[in-house]
Amino acid sequence: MATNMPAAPSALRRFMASELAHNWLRSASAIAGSIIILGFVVMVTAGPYLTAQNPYDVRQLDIMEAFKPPMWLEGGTGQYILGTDQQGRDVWASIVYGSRISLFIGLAAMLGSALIGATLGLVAGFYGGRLDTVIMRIADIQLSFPSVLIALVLMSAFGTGVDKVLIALVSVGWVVYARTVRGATLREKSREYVQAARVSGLPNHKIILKHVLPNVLTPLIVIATIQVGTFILIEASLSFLGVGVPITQPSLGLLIKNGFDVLFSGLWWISVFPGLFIMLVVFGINLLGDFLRDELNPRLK
Amino acid sequence: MSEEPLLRVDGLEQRFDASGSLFDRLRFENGRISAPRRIVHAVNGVSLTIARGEVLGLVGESGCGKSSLAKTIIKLHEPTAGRIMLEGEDITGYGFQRMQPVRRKMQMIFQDPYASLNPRQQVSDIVVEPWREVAGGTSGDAHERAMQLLAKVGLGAEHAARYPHQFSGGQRQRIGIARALSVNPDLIIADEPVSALDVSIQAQILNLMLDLKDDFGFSYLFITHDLSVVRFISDRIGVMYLGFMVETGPRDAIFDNPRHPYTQALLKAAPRIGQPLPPAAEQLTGEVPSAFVLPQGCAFRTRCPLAHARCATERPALKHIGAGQSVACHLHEADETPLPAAALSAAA
Repeated sequence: MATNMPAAPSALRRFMASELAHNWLRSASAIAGSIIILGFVVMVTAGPYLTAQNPYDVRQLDIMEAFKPPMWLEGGTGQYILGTDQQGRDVWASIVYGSRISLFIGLAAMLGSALIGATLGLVAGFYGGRLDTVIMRIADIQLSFPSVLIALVLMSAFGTGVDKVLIALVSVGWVVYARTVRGATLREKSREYVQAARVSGLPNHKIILKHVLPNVLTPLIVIATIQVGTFILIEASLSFLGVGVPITQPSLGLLIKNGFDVLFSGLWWISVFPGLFIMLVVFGINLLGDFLRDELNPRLK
Repeated sequence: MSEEPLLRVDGLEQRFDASGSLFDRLRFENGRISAPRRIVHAVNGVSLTIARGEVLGLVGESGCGKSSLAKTIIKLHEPTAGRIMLEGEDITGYGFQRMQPVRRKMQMIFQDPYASLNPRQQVSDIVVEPWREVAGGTSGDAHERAMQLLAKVGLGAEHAARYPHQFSGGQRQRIGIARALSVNPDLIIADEPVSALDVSIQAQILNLMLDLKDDFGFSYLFITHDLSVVRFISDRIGVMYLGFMVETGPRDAIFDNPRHPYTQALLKAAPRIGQPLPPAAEQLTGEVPSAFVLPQGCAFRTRCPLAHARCATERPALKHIGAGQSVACHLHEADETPLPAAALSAAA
């Protein structure tokens, strides 16, 4: 009979056969979001190969080339597609290099928040009691302040720097994971398969990791996706206000600030293009995030 | 000393605090602030024994404490009072580590085949989980063990790599049975294992459970609210009402000669083909009293057609009345006989 076991299908195969993949291929917004994100990731990884100039290398800058308009305007050249800023830096090159900082901060802060928030949520939901009360009250208090405000206060205390931005964003971001994961954990904990695991002799930490965690991952993925976009925006706000990344590592937000001083002198391209670019990226992330939310967790609609 | 039964439960009580946090409990009454607790009296002094290879069926209405009793015996809940003895070993106060060898002897089949299997776990992992945790199973042997277990419950090797959602309810319950079998237990607690299944599938699962019992020689504590199921599978039957054991005895004695007014009413209420329903006078009226506030005296007296003054003041104890049958009712105290040593001890 069935002597040779059918091998378990590979993860990719299983994904492509899933309902999620099926709906993804039929959703225009999901595909658009995915293309934007893919383009962004390619741009960030291939960065130096896409630009003629390294905007961080002072030797490549020429002050005589400053304030060149975009190539399609009068006085623009094909060398600087989107024009140059007050130092003669290529705006396009600055966007490519700035995106690396912005995406790194968004992803790293998301991973840090997810790890801390999910751990606290699992522990609070699974063990309950006083620990749960303490964690959740801290979360409630924090949620009563706007997250940009908290990050702003923390950054004013810490000073500028990528590491400090990460700490500020993680301090702001863990709450949403903790609350969501706690709720999902409470629901899963009461289901019989958790009792079955107890009867099977699994200790609590194994029940959490093997049984509860895989079943609360879905909402986590949705939040994580959307949060990368949120974090890029918060970081841009902080940098724009001058408490984010240092001037030597300009993120997209800092680029907007750079051009802001001369924005109303008609030199609009220095600020506007990084701004439009952030908008496009966050738009793409939100398109995909909304699709995932609708597909994976219909109750959040 | 007479032979020790496989499982002996003495005066087991289970109370749950359903009052919630302090804020949920706060009340303002008669000008005073108070924070009363709400205690559910789920199991109230139940005693029972199960012999090796025996099937004890436990029947009663929904909410009568059957499941709470089962989950307390297997220590999913800590008992409030009473003793649980497995093979003469008192496991009542055992913590996690000391329960590990006990879990090898006692396993459980759950009610809901949809909720009792982790949807993210492959079937081959599900069925060997207890074996790996408490019976020293190793990863190297796990696949072979899973195949053996699946074969025993009538599933094939092609099912091993699948996930629970790819199975029907009956197949899922087979997976749950295979999981319980994996450690070769002496006792399997089955909490309404067929009540979520179609009638045609119920018969298949019940037959499988009986065949496996004959092959392996273990015992069942079989919980159900379905009288035809309990009649089919049980050697002995216990009838529960509001957390009390009101009658126990051999299957045929319970069905042919029920002695407790509640058992009599329960059997009469079951519809049978070709027989009209009993006249309204013989049907039970009223509601089951709240488990938050137990009635004084006999728990059944509020619905009992034969209740008298004594029932309101004194709670009847479960007493042996001959032929292995025990009843907790004041009506039967006249023909009371002394308890044999190994028989059921009195309910608290």
